[in-house]
Amino acid sequence: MNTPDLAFLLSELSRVDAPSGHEGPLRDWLQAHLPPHTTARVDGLGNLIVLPIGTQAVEVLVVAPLDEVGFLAQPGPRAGWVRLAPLGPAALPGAAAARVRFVDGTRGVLTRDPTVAKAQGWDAWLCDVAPASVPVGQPAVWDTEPIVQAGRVLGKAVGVRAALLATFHALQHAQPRRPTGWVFAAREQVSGHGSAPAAFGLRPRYALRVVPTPARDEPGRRIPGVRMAQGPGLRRREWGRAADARLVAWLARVAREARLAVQDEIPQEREPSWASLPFVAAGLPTATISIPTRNLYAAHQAVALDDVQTAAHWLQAALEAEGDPLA
Amino acid sequence: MPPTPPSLRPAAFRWLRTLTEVVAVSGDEAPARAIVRRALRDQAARLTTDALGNLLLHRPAQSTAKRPLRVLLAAHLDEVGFMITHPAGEGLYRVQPIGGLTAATALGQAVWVGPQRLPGVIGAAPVHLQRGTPRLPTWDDLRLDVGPRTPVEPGQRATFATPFRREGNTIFAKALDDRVGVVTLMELIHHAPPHVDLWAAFTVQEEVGLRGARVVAHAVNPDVAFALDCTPARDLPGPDGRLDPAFNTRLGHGPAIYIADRRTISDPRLVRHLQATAERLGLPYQFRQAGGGATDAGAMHLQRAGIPSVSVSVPARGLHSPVATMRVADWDATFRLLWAALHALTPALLEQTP
Repeated sequence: MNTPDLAFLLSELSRVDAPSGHEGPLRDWLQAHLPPHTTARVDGLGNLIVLPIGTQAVEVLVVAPLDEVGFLAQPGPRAGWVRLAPLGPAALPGAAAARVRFVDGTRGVLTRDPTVAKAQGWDAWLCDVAPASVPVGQPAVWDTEPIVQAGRVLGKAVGVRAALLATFHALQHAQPRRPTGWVFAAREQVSGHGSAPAAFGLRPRYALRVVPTPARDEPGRRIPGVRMAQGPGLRRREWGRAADARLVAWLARVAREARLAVQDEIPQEREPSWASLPFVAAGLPTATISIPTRNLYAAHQAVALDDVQTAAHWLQAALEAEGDPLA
Repeated sequence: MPPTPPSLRPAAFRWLRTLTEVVAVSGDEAPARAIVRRALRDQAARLTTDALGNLLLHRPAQSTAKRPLRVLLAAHLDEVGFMITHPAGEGLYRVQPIGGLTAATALGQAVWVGPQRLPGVIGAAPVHLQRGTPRLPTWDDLRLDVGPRTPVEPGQRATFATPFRREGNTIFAKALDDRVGVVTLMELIHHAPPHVDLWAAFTVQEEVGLRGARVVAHAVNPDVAFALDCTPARDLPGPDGRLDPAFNTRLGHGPAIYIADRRTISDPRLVRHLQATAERLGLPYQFRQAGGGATDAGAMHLQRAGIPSVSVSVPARGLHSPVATMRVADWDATFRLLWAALHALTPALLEQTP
């Protein structure tokens, strides 16, 4: 995967709309590009589960998010105006208006409700869709055209799409030493709902996740974290619990031996998909590779293409490495 | 084309009165469970109670289909209330909330303690004896007063002492969340669709974390699940006369179909099915505003390899307080919508991608 290809694919995937619970278009894109040696199915929650043809049981599960943060239309004060409820931790817009795009193609512009005196989250914002109308419950996403600039892609949902692309690259190119299943998980932005039920059905020995993570490298930040364009992160812990120490040590060793630039991450924020995967069935050892993303959950996000490429190679190397990481 | 859905029977109103006047706070749902079990004893179906206290009814499909759709309907038995924690002398006791209740809601309320509904009061000082700047009470400030000779013990549950009352199209009662769902489920069992393998679950401990539904869904392993609940309507105008934009639902606008809440994104196929059913029959319905709150669907849809789930609720004002208000017409439309949706449910619905 060279840089121009990656930039093109990331831009293309940024344009695909897949708010949580409505991931169909992105699932269709993936299914159209699956390598020939695989078979895919969609489970009851909308997860896309990909297995090599003939696989009876998997030992390793690789998980990447399918969905992006979005919105649902709520009743508005009059025709042509709706309110929005966030799907996942969508960042509130700043002082300037932002645009959203409903899945039926209708565009809306966010504006502050002048009758709401104080900031009250999303209740203080109105979405102007006039003269069109959208039904209550219609999903929407940020309406942002991706831009490629100096080795970075800026746009909506580029963080989650970068994680998905790194995983998809490994699916296309890796020759795993152990039977491996791939889950492109639905509803991950709303508390990690998709991956755990998928894992329950597949019963792997361990799981590797690839997710976007907030880059904490703005000037003046008191507690710095992972930095963009310094390599993907290796999570030492998730919110409120440690990552599996054996898998973390093994991923670190793989990166060292492959001479990949990676960085340690100790997340400060609570990430939506933090909770459920390690607690599936009798417990599932899990570790996470993260891709630093500026303005994660906002209309304009930024990722470095080098970070995405390194994450893809790291995951591929991990799947092809000798030895049992849980031994 | 399925036949026209029936309306609620007069018995439903009698059961709702009985069920809203018992004390069945989370973790001690036995009084409500006993009433439901008695009401369903004539059903030709198997009734079991699991280890957590969930009451389960299984009514196999009465069709020749090789693998009928396995449908789980869940309504929770428990209500919010109080637990008596320790004595403070002279018939006074400290209490702690069970489920989502604020101390301000409890202040100055008459309560019933335990299954015997022993009378008590959570007292408030009269205004002319209050000093300093008024502030909202905390649970540490409150004392339950049952009198010195009433046999009350720490660990017992209590809840608001509110008799059921119906005035025309309006019902005033405590614990409509979720006794109205429980009675709706009892009515659906009475009118059960013959073509589905029906599992009805009267779940426990919903108000303290959707706990009962979690084990029920794991045990039953259904193809689809419906949570039948009661959801807040915050549709009263504010001081400026404007409707609160976050009204959640409105009384008189029919059953509330959930698209998303704090714990669940409803299965879009089931949402579309409910909406299409309502429109085909000309039944009123509303989409509950997305946002906070959760139902048993939040636990059910994540069990095993994922269970397509949706919630349908009767809207009511004043939930988690001494008395709530709902409209009979909304309740009847909720029952009719669910009845029709279940009768029209086929495996083909699940063959669509979510």
